[in-house]
Amino acid sequence: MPQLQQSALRNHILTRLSPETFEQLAPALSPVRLALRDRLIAAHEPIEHAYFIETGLCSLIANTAEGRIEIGLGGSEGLVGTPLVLGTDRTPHTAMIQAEGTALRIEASALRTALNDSVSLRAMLGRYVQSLIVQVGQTVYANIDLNIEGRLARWILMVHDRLHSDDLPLTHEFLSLMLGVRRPGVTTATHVLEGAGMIKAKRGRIIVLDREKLMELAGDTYGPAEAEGDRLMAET
Amino acid sequence: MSDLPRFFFHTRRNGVLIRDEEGDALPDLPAALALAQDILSDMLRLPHVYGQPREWQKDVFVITDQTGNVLTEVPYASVL
Repeated sequence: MPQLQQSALRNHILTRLSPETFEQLAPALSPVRLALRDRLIAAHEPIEHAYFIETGLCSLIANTAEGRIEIGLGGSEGLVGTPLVLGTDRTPHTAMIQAEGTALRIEASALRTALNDSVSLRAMLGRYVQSLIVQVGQTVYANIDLNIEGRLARWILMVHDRLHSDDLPLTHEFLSLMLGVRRPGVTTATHVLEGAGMIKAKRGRIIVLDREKLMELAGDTYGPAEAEGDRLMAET
Repeated sequence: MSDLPRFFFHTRRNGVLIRDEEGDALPDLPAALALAQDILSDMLRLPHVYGQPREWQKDVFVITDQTGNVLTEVPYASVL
């Protein structure tokens, strides 16, 4: 396998590690493709691998009696498999790929060893877990404070941040699952955002037209988690 | 599941038809009507999510089949 070049990677955790820490970790990393709906973590099952996401999107999903709802979102800023970082090998939440991409995968035991060997890796992954906690907190706030239109705006911004494209592959059925609302609620909310010039809705796609307006609608539910994520990852 | 017909739940609001491009696979029209009632019950139950009933009570579900034939209409206010 060709040697991984740290500078050529996109994952924010891996690119911010010191060269020495990265060199220690690199032999345990293997590149993998992430296909739509791949389940990286199954609820209550032992987690065998963690994934440093390079491209694509992964959702953390709670399975409730009434269906599934997204509780967290990660892309190239993060790691899927945070329970391993915290010293446990399972979780009631599912991790599922929502936009295809690539990742660098590490076996659970290799990650455990690397964490024991490196204080700086432990600190970096700890800060990522903290940024995820802040994100989940902002989602709780959004779900209490915003109607569907506001939540949709926030969610589009979060996906836009992670996919690096204005053209987002999002069906209403998928949005309905992500926002935990009925599909007709998504359809009418999409219509409202489109009418305000924030997005253009096409079949199975949403095109971002005006981020400023989306941010206005999402209010302070969007922004604090993103700023804190940036701050945490910049810490050394 | 893919053998089931698809029913489309368009919404008419202030004379404008907001199109449902995706639809739901359901066994028959009674199942579609039950789903419409189910959705409206949720909307009534969760005003902090879907807005107060006065904001949506004039909207109407226009349920069509795959070819676009209108099968029936269900006023949102029917749940009130």
